[in-house]
Amino acid sequence: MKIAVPSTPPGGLKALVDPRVGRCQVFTIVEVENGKIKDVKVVQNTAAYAFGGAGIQAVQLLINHGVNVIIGGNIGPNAYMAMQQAGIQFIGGVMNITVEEAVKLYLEGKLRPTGMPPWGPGPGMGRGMGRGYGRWGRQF
Amino acid sequence: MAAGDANSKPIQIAVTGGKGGTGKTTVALNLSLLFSRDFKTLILDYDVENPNALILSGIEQDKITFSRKVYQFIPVFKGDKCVRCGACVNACNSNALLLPREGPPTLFENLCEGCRACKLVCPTDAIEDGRKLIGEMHRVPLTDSLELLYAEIVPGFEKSGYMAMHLRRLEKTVSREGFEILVVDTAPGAHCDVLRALMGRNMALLVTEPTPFGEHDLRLIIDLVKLIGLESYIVINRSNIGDTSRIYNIADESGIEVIGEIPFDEEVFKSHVHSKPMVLHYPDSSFTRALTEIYGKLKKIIGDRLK
Ligand code: SF4
Ligand code: SF4
Repeated sequence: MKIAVPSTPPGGLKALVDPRVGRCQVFTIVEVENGKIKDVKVVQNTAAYAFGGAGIQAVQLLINHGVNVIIGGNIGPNAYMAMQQAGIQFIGGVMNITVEEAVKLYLEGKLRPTGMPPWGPGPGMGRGMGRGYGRWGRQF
Repeated sequence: MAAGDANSKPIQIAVTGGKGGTGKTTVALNLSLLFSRDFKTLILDYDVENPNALILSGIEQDKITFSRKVYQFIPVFKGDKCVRCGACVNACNSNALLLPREGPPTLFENLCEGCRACKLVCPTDAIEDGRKLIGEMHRVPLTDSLELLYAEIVPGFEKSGYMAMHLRRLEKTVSREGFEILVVDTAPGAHCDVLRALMGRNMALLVTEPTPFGEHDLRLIIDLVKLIGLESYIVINRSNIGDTSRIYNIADESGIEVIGEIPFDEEVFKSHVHSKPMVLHYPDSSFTRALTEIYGKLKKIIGDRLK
């Protein structure tokens, strides 16, 4: 299983979780096997400076890296839909801790997957969609 | 006057005002009605998110003589032809496409700009033309010599500029039908949609009011008209609700003349509620008198150019 965590630069297990999934500088991708961290990789978020649709582009990047789970703070409605399309699980409301702590909490089953986002049923459903950000309460 | 000839261009007057609620549309509509007494006039409502010139005119929708729906291209993917190469996803500047783990790409319709880049780059012709409705344009005669052209985008469509571009094309065709005067009511604000509606006009009326907000927005809109070198005149609406001297200071600083003041008039409120335009139904109101005076000055300014 591969877990991607948007991170403050330079990324890695000791980096902090960056709450902005689409606009973070780097993703730390942690490969887990039998509940243990097997490999850690840092990838540049090429979507960070996209004009629009950064969330979708970021999700595409993570799909291409074979990611199954994303742990982060907030995402926009388009990115959320993109994750659903790709079968990626999203764990929101995680911030102010290191990547390592976030992954551990997840592996210990202490983080809940994030359900339907607070901004409604999906993109294109009304004015203002794509601008707002979903905010979930902190998870720990 | 030779302006009605098929090959002479109408004089184009934009009415703009920075923020909403300065009475821009009221001025534009009533001014058009005054113009239409002397000239064949076309009024254009470029506030495609909130067109209300028709409502203020009191003319019913069933008087619309022409409507055209406006669509935008969206890609439709043929799953059997798609080889999942990802070329379309990379080509899409708006990031409206996602290649999931299986099957053809998914479109995020609200991000799609309709640029067709995806279709152009697809190596297997797996993309067909789809379309989504983004709005509708309408043409309505308001009087014998005044017609209204307006557009309305579907709720939720965010790219008003795209709709305005279509309206401008229709404007070009319609204005060749011997119209002598074009009155262009812009959207509120000082953003790029407003700028585009102002481009290529002969002059602009900057409708403002003597309030701090009015002053602030007047400065923004002055920057805009200076940027494109558009001849402009300030109209102070509701001139008796605040201190006009500050507006005159801005006018002096920027070298833009105040062409007239329109006092606050309670009948304007009635006119809105009952959709009865001021110059038609309240001819003796202070509003109508003030606007008629402004009209007289404008006629003089453009008089030479119509010859
Ligand atoms: S038409 Fe343009 S914006 Fe729309 S999906 Fe294709 S490439 Fe992207
Ligand atoms: S470019 Fe054509 S073949 Fe390639 S992924 Fe897009 S639709 Fe499929």
